[in-house]
Amino acid sequence: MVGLAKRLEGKPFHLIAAFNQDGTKEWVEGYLRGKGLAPSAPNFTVTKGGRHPDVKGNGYVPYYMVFDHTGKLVQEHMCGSYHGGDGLKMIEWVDKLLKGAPDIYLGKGPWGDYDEFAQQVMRKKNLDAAVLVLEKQTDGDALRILDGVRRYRDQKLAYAQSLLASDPAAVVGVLKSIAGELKGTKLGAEPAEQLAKLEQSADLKDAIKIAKKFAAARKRLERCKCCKPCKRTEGLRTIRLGCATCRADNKVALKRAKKKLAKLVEGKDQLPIAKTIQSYLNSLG
Amino acid sequence: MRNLAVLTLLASAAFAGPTDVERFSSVSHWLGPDVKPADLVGKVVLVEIWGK
Repeated sequence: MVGLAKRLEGKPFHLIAAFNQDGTKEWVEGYLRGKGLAPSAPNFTVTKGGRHPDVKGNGYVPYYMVFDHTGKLVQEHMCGSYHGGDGLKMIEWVDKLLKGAPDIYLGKGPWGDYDEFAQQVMRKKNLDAAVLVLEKQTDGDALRILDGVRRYRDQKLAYAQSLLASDPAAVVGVLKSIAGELKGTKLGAEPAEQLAKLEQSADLKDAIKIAKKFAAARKRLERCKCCKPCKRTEGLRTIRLGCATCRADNKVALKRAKKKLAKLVEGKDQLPIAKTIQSYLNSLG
Repeated sequence: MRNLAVLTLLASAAFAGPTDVERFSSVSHWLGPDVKPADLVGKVVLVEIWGK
């Protein structure tokens, strides 16, 4: 499903992964980070205990709900290939409903004389060339398209900010991409400025080093060695933080890792990645 | 006549209520930065309920 969210980035689509079994919020966050995922991306969010008052399901997971762009629940069903699930039918529903949804940033046309530019903006192809022309216009349609581009830019900037807490090494890449797309335009000034500041920031270099050490420590820690529940699950090689046996069997490793991680973020409260590590530390108990 | 129009408008607004996706959004506990119901307006939303 994360692959689906990546494929549909920039489209009017949002994926919500609702975790509905035992386990604390910290456990879910720790699990996701163990898989290299942040709890939030531009079009992907995780909830703990998400439910809909009208949807009862049948008690099994995974289960899906699809809402159209007006907010109406269109379909709900079991997924997977067991307990009567309909496999990946949800993807067909999403693709079908997307055909009727207006562009996420531009909204609905018509765009009058500027239709060609609106199409260019929607395809995100030669965005800078289209924006350079549009920024010289005063017509309402042209300004509406520019508002859409601004929304697109702002979402990328907000995403770059949120990455500081999960994957600081990726921040520069996101900023470079949006600054490049809008190169030479007025709308591109802010991403270019943020990129220049960030590239010289000592805090970012520090955060990247810490994140790298954090990822390595987590990888070592979550390599399961022993406990019975994990041995029964073929291919699963992580400590199950929600499993008492697993925690007890890895007591020494947990204690050592906690000490090391706490030292890593000592005096680094100003860095968003430090908060992430602190939250992971809390999940270790 | 104008009062009637205002009353009709108020009544329709009162009956409109939250959309299905807003009702899901309002009872869920978001991880990471909160997603407001307004963020989902205008988008196709897929919810997958998952477990361990």
